[in-house]
Amino acid sequence: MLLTLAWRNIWRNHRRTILTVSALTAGIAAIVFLDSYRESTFKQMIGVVTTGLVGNLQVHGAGYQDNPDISTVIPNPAQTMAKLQKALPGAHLEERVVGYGLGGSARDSDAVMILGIDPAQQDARSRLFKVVAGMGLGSAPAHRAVVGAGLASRLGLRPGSELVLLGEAADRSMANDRYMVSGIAKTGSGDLDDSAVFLQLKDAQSFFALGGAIHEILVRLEDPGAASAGPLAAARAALDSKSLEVLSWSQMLPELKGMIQQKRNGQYGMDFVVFLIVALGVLNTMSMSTFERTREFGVMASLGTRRRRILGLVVTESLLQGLIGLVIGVALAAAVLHAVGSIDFGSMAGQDIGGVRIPSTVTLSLQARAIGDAFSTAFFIALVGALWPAYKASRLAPAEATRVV
Amino acid sequence: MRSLVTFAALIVALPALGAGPLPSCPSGAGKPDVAALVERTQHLLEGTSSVATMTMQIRGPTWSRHLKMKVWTKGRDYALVRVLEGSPRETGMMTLKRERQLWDYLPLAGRVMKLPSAMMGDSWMGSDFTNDDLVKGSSLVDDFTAKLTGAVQADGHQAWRIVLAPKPSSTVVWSRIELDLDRTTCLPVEQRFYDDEGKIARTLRYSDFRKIGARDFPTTFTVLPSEKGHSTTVTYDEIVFDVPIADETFSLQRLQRGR
Amino acid sequence: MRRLLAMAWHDLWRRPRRTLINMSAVGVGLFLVILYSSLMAGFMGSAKDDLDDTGMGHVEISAHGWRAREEPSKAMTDPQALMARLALPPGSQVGARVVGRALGSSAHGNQGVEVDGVDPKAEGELSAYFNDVRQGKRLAPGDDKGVVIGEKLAKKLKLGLDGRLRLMVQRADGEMGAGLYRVRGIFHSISPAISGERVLLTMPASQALYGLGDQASVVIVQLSHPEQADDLAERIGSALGPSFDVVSYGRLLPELKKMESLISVMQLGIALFVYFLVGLGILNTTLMSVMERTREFGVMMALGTRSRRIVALVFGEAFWIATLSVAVGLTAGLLVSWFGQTHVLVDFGKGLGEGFDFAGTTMRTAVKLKLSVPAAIQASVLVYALALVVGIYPAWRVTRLQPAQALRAA
Repeated sequence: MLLTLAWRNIWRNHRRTILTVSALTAGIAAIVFLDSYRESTFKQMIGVVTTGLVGNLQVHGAGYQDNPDISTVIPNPAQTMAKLQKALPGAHLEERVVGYGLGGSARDSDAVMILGIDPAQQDARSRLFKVVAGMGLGSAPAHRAVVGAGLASRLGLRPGSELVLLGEAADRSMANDRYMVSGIAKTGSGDLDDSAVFLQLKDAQSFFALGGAIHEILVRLEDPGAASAGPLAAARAALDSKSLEVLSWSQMLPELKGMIQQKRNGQYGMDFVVFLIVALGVLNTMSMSTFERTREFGVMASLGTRRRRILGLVVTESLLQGLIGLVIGVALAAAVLHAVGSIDFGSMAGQDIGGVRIPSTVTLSLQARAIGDAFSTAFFIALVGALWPAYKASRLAPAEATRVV
Repeated sequence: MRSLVTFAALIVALPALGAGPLPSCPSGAGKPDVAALVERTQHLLEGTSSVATMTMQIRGPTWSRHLKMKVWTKGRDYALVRVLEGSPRETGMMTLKRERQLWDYLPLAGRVMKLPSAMMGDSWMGSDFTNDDLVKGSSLVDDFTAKLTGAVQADGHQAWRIVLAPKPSSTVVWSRIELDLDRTTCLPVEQRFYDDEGKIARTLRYSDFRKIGARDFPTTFTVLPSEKGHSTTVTYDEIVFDVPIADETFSLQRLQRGR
Repeated sequence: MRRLLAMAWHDLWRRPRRTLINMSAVGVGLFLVILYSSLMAGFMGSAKDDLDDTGMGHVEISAHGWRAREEPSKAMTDPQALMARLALPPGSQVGARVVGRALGSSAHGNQGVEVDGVDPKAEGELSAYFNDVRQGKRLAPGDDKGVVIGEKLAKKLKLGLDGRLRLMVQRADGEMGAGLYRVRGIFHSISPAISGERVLLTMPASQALYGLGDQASVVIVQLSHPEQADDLAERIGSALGPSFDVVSYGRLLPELKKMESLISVMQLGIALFVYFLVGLGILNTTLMSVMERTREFGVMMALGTRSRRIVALVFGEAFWIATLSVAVGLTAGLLVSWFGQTHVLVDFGKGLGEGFDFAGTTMRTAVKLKLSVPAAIQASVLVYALALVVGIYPAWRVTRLQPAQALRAA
């Protein structure tokens, strides 16, 4: 009843409504667009991290993060994997061996990072590297290596070339061996492209004299952008904290985390300015329209309408307008986001932050967080814009109100 | 970490003891000629040619391991080290030094790899020597000014203490080196390397003096870096001096053949 | 005219609430626009200054092929003559450098470093860290045995003032070379890479170390108007011919350039949007106020007031509102931006330290505002015009009113 009345009321003076709603729509659209742009970017960035080298969480031997010594290991990976899987059902786990050494070809030699991976554990969620020439490790026999593209070009390696590795093993002896390059890969990180050598887990374990031990277990959650606090706590509870450590991507890459935080803060500043401007415009329009209707309310009051009902009517009208503004604004933003499609993320394209390459383009989509922000903005503006003038109007004595021109 | 006292100097040097016209030791002299003493030590540390077998014991805070090696040297510029015994994968590994460059022969890979300059600061064979140590040598005579500071008691030896201050023209990172020489044999007992703040950055100890050929000879030396718990000890098992060694021994071709 | 303005003024304060709402639309809008552009200018400004902080040039000239691997053998001969030949816009700074890699050693360790052989007289204008010596002295001309190093490097190699640093390099002739230097000063840089890996040497010392004779690796040009960099690089490039590579920082650091253009596009976009929103706010408010006053105007017209006079009155009111609120908004905007120039109002990412390396340059984490009075005045003029123009529409609407219709309305 109140709703129908309010609905009819706002179309009684449609010009006024259109003015109010248009201001709100433009503002909502702006906020939704900016928010979606930012959150799309972050999601993509975090996705690169959690699907790449780092994962959502990592388990190491205790102390490995601070001092990644080749002999700090997870001694019994199978058991630890089983415990983790139980604590984090649905998560995808990968074993890894990580070490450093010297890689040499017939032409040259250079410092390398040696990563032992189990190709069978690489699923759709892992985007560690993309083979650009030759083959991956999946079906390769033992003693095959996939080499980062930058390293390959510096050492003059091609699929089929020979790669010699030298490094210090866990027993402090000098590990050395020869591998055949099965493929050249791009990893999404410039640092890694320039230094990475991927081996089969077993090859890496024997190279570094690790026996069955490994250095890391990567945890990839179902949603790459998922918050890590919950799973982190679950994993920590499941594992022996004396011999093992569990870290989230943000703990391993504080630089990236800081970067995202910086961007967010920066954009919050801008958002806030936009919000103020929108709020101001809408508040002005709304409060003015309510004030100008003082006479109307006076008439209503003198006809016996109760104060509370007037107040309710005004607020309902305002909220209705807010709702219209919200719907049109979000639709408008969605349309613009869709029309823009993707943005060349020029400022950071191809840049490494904490070893993670920022994607060059960001696909924009409407983000739930943005709609949430827009909703609260619209609600807040509509309510505040109407409440004070409505309260004022409802307080006027009928005679006084009708006298006002 | 460590630097400059060159491993090359060590492995090249001591064998020279038994060789050549080594200045005589002014044993017991009231106040010896410092320059002569240093020159003698320097001479000691720069031999002509030698073939030796040695054991290297590397200790870390929680681990220790050893390597048996054969070493061929020719002057300051050429050396070849071959691992005779170590972990299975290291046996047969070789390091060739030619002037200021290093190559490794990797037995499992069956290949030779040149060490890039970026790796020069890294540990050689996991020891407390760096690759850099193998490559460069400083000359006690050319790079330092020696001064006798007195007679001391060092490691059970009556010793002369000589302070070596780097000459302005040198490229030595130490602020000074203290060298303790046995008064009767003039053999080095201990060498201490000081940093800019006057703290010991590295210590080199000579021990197990044995008669090799005509002379006494320290057959063990130990490097103590400033990191706690680390040390590397090299012990000579067998040494032959002044043997003619073909230049081909120090050639890359030979290294590539892995023998 | 004066009477009209006086009357409009009087009219304005008959309904103070409406007037204040109207004024806030304009004044606060302008204030926000000024604040916003100061924030953006501060952001961009610090990114540009960061180029000086890293000692990078707006334009850099090197012998052809040097840039690919920065080998000392690919140096340029007679940089002095080259610098003398350059036709640079006034206010430019220019200097040559020898740039190379080295293994730095102290008694306590080794660290790969970048050696910059510089002319101490010119370098002070080219890189911010050169002047920011926190311990000891700056590098002095003729001091060929001295080095100045970054704080992080000093810590890593445990080097203090007068400490010994040995640099081992691959010389231009391929041989190994080494030199021993004494630490004369320790500089501060907000860039972790510069602070941790850079060693400053005099030009002659570095030439001797790398065996370069009188050659240099690169000539650095810094401009007072960085936007001229691309044109200048092209001009110098065609003048010098193919034996030299000339790059502007846009090509040297495409990310920074991209970011700059992205930010300016975004800035323009958002600024337009901000203006649009502010304009919409003003329009709405004024329109609303005129609409609501339709009845009032109807009464006036019924009482014989000519529509021209009403138009003039509405316009007069718009004038007052615009003038007053622009004055207030401009003052507030200038004051806050001015305050923000010296005080950090926005601090990004605590715990990130003072700065972090990004895209090869260093970003400061605390951004200060940068007040540009011309920009603020420009914004004021724009908002002022906007407020007046917006005032015209309601005035024009008034002229079309029929008194009877107007009285019936609302």
